[in-house]
Amino acid sequence: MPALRLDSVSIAFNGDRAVADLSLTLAPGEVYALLGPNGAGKTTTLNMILGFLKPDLGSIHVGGIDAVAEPLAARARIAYLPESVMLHPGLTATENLSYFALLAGRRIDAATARRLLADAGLQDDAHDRRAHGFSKGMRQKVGVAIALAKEARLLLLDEPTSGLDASAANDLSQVIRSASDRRIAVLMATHDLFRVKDVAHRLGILHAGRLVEERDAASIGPVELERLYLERLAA
Amino acid sequence: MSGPRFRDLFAWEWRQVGRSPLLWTVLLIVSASFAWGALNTAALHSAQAAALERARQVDTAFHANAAARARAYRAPVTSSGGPVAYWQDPTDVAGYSEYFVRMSALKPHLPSSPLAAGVSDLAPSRLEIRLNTPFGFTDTYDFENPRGLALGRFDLAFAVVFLLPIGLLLLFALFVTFERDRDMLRLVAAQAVGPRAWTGARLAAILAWSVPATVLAMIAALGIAGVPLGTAAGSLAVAALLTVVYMLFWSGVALTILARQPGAGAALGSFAAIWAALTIGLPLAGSALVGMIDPAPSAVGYVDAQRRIGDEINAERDKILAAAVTRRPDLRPYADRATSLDYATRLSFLVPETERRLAPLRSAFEDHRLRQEGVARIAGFAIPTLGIEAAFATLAGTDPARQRTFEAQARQYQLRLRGIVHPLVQREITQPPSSPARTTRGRLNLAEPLTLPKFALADRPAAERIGGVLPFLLWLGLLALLAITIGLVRTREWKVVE
Repeated sequence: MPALRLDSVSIAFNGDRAVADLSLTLAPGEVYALLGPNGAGKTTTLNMILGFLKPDLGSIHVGGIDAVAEPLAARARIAYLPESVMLHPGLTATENLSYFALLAGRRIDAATARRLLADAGLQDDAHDRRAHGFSKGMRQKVGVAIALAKEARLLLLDEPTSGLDASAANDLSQVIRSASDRRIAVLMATHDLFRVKDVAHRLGILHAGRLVEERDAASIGPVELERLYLERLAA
Repeated sequence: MSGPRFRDLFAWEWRQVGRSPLLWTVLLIVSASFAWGALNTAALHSAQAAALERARQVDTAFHANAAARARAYRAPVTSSGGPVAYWQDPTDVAGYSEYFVRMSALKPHLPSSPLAAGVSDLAPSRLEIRLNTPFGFTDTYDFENPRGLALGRFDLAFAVVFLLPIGLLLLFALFVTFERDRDMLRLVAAQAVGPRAWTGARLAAILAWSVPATVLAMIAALGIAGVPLGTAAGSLAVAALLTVVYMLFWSGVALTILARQPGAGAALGSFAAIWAALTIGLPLAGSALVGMIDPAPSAVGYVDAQRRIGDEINAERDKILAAAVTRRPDLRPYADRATSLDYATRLSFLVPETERRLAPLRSAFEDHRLRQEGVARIAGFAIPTLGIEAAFATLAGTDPARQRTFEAQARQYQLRLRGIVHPLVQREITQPPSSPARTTRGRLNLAEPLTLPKFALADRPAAERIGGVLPFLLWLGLLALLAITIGLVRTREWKVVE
């Protein structure tokens, strides 16, 4: 069973097409990069998968569950990392993690929370600090730990490396590869062509809501990918 | 994988909300306002109780003075002490009836009175009963109680009705919109929790702290104000229950707004508008509407009618007296004396006639007041803020109905006194003074001042007063349930996409 399947999904806002006839299937463990400029429909696609938007046409299935009809059940199978993770400033990293794990229907003890935070790359001395003074990178790492804690079979990443330094971005790549090894499917919406080449198995280019190109990542070099991307956007 | 259990969510929220300084700040302010409100009303009522006590003492002194005079005027006329005029003579039954029958009808406060200052606190709680005051008493010139509330009222009911919702709505708005305003809501929504369970758990956690704290604050405030908690337990329990249901009502209103998942600014704006509409706008508009549709009869017109009828009666005095005496078989043989009766004896016939002629106007006032009270009852059901104020006043015994009962009983008391004294006065028509020259200073046709019954307000039993509040309590409960249901139904989906 595919981890994610989109069949001819379309949505428009006030008559303006945002996503049109998008079909996509992710196998377990597959990493798929959705490329495209701002306004191409990447985040809208993620919103539909998460059940925050209902498609006008088409169907979305997450692990066999109809995400349109049963958004809550589908969300229970999805881990999500937004572009900018915001945390409860008054809670520590471990408390934040425990809270979001609770919202995901999981109860984790302090030791598990520390292990997950360490796996996400957050330094040990930050585990029990309040999130009030965390940098974006630190918050993003807690966000990764939140996603890992959910033990979902599908991971959605929305511009995950935006604003991260090279080291933090590299840590994130490790997390993605590790997730893929554990047969977790990953769909990431990104502008980061370099990171795409680094971690993705397949990539698709969205332009004005349409999937205009789809390739195996291994079949294309970084320079060619950049050229293809720019050509497709110019078309 | 399934979502979180509500119990776990609630337990987490309960701990987090309990750690918030905001919660305790709001609860502290609300508690302080309760204590201040209860103390204010207790002080007001204590001043009124002191005035009643003074009235009792004045009555006692007055009657002791009358008795002393009655004894003194048994003395023979001397060169230094001649016969006293009838209006100074408590041994003259006519003079006694007009000048020495002066009793107080007092309305003591109930033990639960610090719950609320009510409409009746603007009306007199002491009525001077004299035999010949039309309709029992004159309350027009009473200033003591209105002066006690000249600066407005700040009582426990005010704190509950107006301030408690502000505190509660502030907590709801700031706690529930926290994630929205900090861009955390998408991450929350992406987990396996629905908006209904998430919002519901947080609201329930706020209530789980606020409700017991509010009830405790209320009991503590009343205790500080000197309310005997054991004696007034029934009324206080119902007041506490009303407060809890009122909090649930506002929770439902809040949930209905928060279902749209607004930011704090929008939520507070909506709450402020609803609060202002329910506490100020609708009552003001309703009051203005009722005033236009059913204006009160003119008080100036009533005074004018009193004067006019007084003049008419003066002009027709002899005719009225002759008719009144002739109507009485026992007096009919003495009809020729009707025109030479003394002032006090005349009044015993003329005042009932004055009341008869003024009765239609008096009824118009009474009917208007009854209609207003009926409208207020209905308005209480339509506008919960009015209803709960009225319910608190009923439990406190400061409601208009208790005042009306007091006034009606005062009037009955006057009629009872007339029934005792007027026959004695009128009997004198058949026994005129044998000689204008008296040997004693007093006339002595009333050997001792009468031992007249004292007024005692027959109050409704507490159970009946509580029973009167129960329909509103049930109605408010239904409204709360309805508001919460609407709120829950509206809280279906996460609204995290702009």
